[in-house]
Amino acid sequence: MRGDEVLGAFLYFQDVIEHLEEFWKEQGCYIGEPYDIEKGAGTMNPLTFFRALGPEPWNMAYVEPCRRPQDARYGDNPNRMGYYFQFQVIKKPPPDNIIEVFINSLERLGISRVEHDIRFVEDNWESPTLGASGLGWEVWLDGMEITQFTYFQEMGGIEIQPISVELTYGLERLTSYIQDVDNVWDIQMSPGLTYGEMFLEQEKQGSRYGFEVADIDLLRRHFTDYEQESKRILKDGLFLPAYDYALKCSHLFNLLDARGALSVSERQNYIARVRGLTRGCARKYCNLRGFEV
Amino acid sequence: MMTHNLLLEVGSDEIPARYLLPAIEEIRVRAEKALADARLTWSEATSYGTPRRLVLYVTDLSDRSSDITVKVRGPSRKVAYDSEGMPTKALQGFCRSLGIDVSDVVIEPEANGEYVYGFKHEPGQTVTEILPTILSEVVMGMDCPHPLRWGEKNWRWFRPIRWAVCLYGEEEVPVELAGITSGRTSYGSRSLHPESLEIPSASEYFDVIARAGVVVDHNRRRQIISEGACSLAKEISGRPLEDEGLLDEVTCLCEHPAPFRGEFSPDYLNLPQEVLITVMRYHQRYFPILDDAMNVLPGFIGVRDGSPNIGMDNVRKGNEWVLRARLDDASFFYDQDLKVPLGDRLDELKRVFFLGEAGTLYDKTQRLIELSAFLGEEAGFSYEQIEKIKMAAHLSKCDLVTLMVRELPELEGIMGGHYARVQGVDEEVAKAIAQQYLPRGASDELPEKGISGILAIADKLDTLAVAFCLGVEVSGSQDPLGLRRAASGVANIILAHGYDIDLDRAIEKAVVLGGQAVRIAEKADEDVDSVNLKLKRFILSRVEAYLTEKGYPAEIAKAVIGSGETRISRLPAMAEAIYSILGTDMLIDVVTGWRRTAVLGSKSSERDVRGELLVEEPEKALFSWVSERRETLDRLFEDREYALYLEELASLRMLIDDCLDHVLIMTEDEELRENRIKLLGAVSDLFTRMADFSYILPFTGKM
Repeated sequence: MRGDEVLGAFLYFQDVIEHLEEFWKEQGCYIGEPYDIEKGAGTMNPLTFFRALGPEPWNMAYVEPCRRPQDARYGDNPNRMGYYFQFQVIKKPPPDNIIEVFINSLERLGISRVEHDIRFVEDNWESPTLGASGLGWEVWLDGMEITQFTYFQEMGGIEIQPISVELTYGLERLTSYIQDVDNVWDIQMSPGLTYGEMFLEQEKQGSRYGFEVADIDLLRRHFTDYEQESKRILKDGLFLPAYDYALKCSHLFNLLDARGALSVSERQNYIARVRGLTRGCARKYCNLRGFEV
Repeated sequence: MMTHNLLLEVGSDEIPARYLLPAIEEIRVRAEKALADARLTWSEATSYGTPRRLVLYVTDLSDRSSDITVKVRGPSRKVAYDSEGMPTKALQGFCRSLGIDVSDVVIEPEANGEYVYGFKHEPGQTVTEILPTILSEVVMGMDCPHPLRWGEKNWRWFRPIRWAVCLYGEEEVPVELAGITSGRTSYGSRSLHPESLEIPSASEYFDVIARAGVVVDHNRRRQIISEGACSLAKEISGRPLEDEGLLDEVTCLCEHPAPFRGEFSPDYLNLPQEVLITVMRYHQRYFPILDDAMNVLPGFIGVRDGSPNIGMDNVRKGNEWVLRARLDDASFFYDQDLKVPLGDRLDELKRVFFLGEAGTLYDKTQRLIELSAFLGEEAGFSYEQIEKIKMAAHLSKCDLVTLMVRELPELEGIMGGHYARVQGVDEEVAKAIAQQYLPRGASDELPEKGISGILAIADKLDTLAVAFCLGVEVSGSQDPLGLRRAASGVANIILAHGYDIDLDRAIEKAVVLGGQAVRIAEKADEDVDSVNLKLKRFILSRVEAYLTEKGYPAEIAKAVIGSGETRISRLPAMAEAIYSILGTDMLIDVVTGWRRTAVLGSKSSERDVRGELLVEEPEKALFSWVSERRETLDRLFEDREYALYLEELASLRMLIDDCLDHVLIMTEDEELRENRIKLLGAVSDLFTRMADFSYILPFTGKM
């Protein structure tokens, strides 16, 4: 247990989330809920994707489950999984002292800046399927990457203004460090309940499905179906349902990729197709809201 | 005139390490130029930096810029004065613009008439008037390779600027930077002194900021890290791996470096050294610790940003924890990888594409087997050696689908060599696999002479051939596939190891093989001849670079390449032979002989000189000399006796002069004329196969 110097109490996984939510609530963030469609990163939540566009302020924090079939390891790897949780913060516009505020959020978890080594190492972020990119850092805590810190520059292929800051805390990394466990499966969720009990079986089955069992033809077919539906309803101005279908396409693409079903150029092609959908949604949103593009 | 010291501190979010050292240099250079342009004087300008601040310090900066008077040309006299000699509107306007009276002008004669000149006096300004404008431009005009855009006005800089301090002596100078106005308020280290602090004066800045936990001098931080690393490593009788790039990087990742030593379990030492070093060096920015025999010891030096005392145990344990997780991963990969013989992975390569769609790595392997065997034969290797080359090529790409290389791509080749060795493959073959990607950069070591060098050439030449068949263009900084580095590799290995490989034949073979791959991918098939030529020019430009780096003048490098000798490993000896007679009469004899024969000799490409058509004594003498000496000349040339060969050419001068001075080459008799031209052509060939001497003309004083 490392985070006990300040709080004097053991931090369960649920406590880490609760402290972060408390903290960001005090910083003026709305504490949101995860979105109910599979996604590869918290950024894909429509409340981040769309709200990063346009001039209005937006401040929100939420836990988002992420699915990355390619990163699955059958539960064998101590810190790599195909299904996990991000704690996501979006601040637009960010305060000038946003880095200090972020460090304070770690102190809330009992990670003192004097007692530990907190570093900002250049890492620029990009999501080709969202047509999004940003500049920033990975944050190191005593040598371990715990957070991605990004100043968004582009979203849905649109240069954004004002820019937002996105913070993505890796909850499992952070908690296993705070609890001093070597393996995410040993993380204590709440008294008497471990991460492994809850998610190990899902990780094993998910790995087998993604790497070995998924029906490639069916996935391709569904991709095309969803793509067409997304395009069709976008013409009608329904950018939110159209975006839902874009997310579904993105997940199907991830599965096909993990399954090793895509050649290099096919892969590029699928990415471009998803990007086409998300760009279309972003544009429609801006047009309907009267934002300049 | 008074002087004071100037301090400028630009505070920002963490600047990426790779930009920091260039930025420290640039801010000083830009400031010196701007201060000089503003006619200010000073003693010394220095600059420093940490991830969170760039600092400029100028000593004894003058408090005013100097006055100057500029002479300005006005209208012509005719325009300036009317017929009565009174000033016109034009002259009055000119004087008004300079702020002078019409009686203050002078008239000066020029080639096309007389002109009016006026003197404009520019008085100096106070330094505090000048600085806000120029310092803002110095900072905001810096070259940021990948700028971040932020704020209401879309400012662009490395990272957002958060504060600025600008003091001239004790006086605050307000400089506007990205919407921020400088003052005297700064901030200390994030962990040791996160609060703001006031800087009383420029010269007190360094003491105040040091007390706030910031080692602002990057050279000092570098020294703290390097000395600390050495003494910590000594505690376990080792020394830190020497690595200037890593030292620069960690210097640029902290404001207050505190090196510490961590440990890992000796159990991990059965991993290959390269794996241990790569994990520590590239993934964690640690200095590995080596013993005297260059073996990795079970420890590492990390550098923390912050206190050397408080919480050091947390930091050490945390870093050890992270490293253990990574080494655990690596051990797992290593054990898994070793379960499969390297050669069994060949089929898996069918699933990995090469350069987009130009076939797979399996296809590339097949091409490498053929190409490297061809190059081995060309270079005169024995049958046994060629079998080894083929074996190495066969296994060369198999490590790319191992878990370890997928996780640590820096180890491509190295892991293949390692796995091959452990699995009982011949040592020479294992070494060739390990060295196939050498040299990785301009200053990297070459693969060893022998079969290693051959496989390394084949790998690069194949990549080049396929890329050129695909029509990939290299220009300026546009070289995503690293083709320039590959071409340098080919040139450097062949020249340094002296492989007697004919570049034309090697390229032709590689392009035929590469072209098949490209056709399989149904990509546009460029004309083969034009691909061959482009690729040859590309590689020859690297050969030229090799020769000039060896110290030969560029003209000599161009001259020997211009000889058309495509067995490029011979070019250094040819360049040396010419270089060694620079400034001698011998060179003048050779160049003159070439010049006199080449002009007329180039009028025909035929060389069948008929002896019976030679009638004058001098042309007979020249012909018989060439006929008698041809065998000797050929032998000297083939045996690389280029110095002796040049001596022979020099000795021809008299015969050539005699012939051209006394025989009318362009005689009216067509048969005689053609024959004489052919003779001169044959003689000039003896010269041009050694060099294109037109590049050497400047060295003989003739242009």
